[in-house]
Amino acid sequence: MPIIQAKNLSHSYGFEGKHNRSIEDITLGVKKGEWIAILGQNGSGKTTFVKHINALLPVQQGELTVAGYDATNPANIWAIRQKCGMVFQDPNNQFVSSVIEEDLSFGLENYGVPQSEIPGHVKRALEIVGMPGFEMKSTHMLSGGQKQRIAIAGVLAINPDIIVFDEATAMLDPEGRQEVIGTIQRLHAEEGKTIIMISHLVEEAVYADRVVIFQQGRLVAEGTPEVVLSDVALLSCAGLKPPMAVRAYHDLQSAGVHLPTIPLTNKALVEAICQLN
Amino acid sequence: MKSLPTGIFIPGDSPIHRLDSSIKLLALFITVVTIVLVNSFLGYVIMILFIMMIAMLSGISLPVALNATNKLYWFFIIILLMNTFFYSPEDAWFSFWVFTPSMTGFTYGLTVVLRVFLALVISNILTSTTPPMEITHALEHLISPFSYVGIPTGQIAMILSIAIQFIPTLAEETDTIRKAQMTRGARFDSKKITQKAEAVLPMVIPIFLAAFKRADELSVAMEARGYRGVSGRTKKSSRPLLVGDYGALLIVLLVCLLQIALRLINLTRTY
Repeated sequence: MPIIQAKNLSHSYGFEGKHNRSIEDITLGVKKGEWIAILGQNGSGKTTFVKHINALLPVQQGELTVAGYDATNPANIWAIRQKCGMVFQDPNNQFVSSVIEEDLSFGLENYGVPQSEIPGHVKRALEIVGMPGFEMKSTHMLSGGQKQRIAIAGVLAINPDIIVFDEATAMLDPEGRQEVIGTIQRLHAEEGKTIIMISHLVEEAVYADRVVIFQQGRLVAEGTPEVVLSDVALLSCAGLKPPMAVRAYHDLQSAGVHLPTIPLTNKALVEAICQLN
Repeated sequence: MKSLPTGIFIPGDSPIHRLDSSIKLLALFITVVTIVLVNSFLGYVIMILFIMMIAMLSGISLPVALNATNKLYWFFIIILLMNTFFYSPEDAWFSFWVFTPSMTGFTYGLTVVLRVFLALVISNILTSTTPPMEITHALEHLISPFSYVGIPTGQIAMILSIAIQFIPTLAEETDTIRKAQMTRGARFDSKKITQKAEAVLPMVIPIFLAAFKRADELSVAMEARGYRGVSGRTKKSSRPLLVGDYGALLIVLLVCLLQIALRLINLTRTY
């Protein structure tokens, strides 16, 4: 049974008496331990969809089950939020305390975790994100990537099964982005977390098990990164640029250089070119 | 290496760090009231020595203890000058146009500056030695009696704590907006007050919008992490009061009583 199951999910935002459909008829199942990358232009409904998964938006139309809880039942809101954590774009807007230990304890305190157990959860969360010993450090002294890893640790402290990343790398420099992607990879591979990752950067989706494309509130395509990210027509139709390696593949193709497979990463592209020689 | 913003918690194991946060907050309140009560030279000497002793015990370096006052020197000078020139026309040294400089005004101005200075330093020591969430819990604890009349004390404490914590972030944002406006011709460096005011006004709306956006995002992030008010929440750190906590409070109360006694005796009264 999927850990997330959305069926004909639709949502509208009301503004000045008008109702704008933000997502329409979304049907998607996510298996436990799966990594899903959601791609789409601004306003395509990605964030609206994932806010339903975290019960931040009520289900208006359709069905949604998260970790076995029916999201249409308001009584399940807090249970769903405990099972599904969410990391947002700007780490500065997620901290409730400038002291890391206190910030990481926030979620645990909200769920009534006994005082004696809190330090253990905090320590473990910091170890998972590769920042042990940072308990008493100030968030003001961290780099962008470190801040976002602390935001991830804040979510991990509650030990959710699902973690949603809502453009969590958008405000970071390439180094910080790599730090966060590395952390997500570890959470997926070593901790077995189910990952839902929204991104503008198509390159980040290559690490996912499955890529989903949203366009004007509708789910228009889904499949493995190999299939979806190499489909230039589909991506440009959704207003997205294919990964650099895919673009290079097609450029080489038109220049008469034929690579055996379509590479998704720069590393794979280099390897494919080396094989030609 | 980034510098620490003013008032940020600095981890440590000093006697002040170890004190219960509710006691510290209560002691701060009493100390600030005492500072306002002081009206004699001897009283100020006692208060300065007392705050210096607290600063030494806290292990906070002098520049850090004073950095809350660093950007306020102009404010202090203006307060001093305004009091000197306008406060007491009766015993003025001389009179020129609207200016009536007097010793009484100068002394009163100095008193106001000293009071603000000492209150800022002692508040800075509290925030530098107490983690923000402990301040929230302490505040919540101290104002909890108001919850019996329906006031949401837990939420108020959380709002205040987060507001204080966001000051450095908003200051950074203000600086960014200021620089962005400067690149588009705003004249913050102008010596003309009218031009300065003209440059500052367009900054107000972006600063407010940024603050509202941050508040909105933070509230969503807090909800996503299970925040639903104070009911059912546990506290990471809470311990029973120790002898040291009572001792610290007693010392602060004694200093306060001493100042009240000095005020009543009216020894070497300044203001």
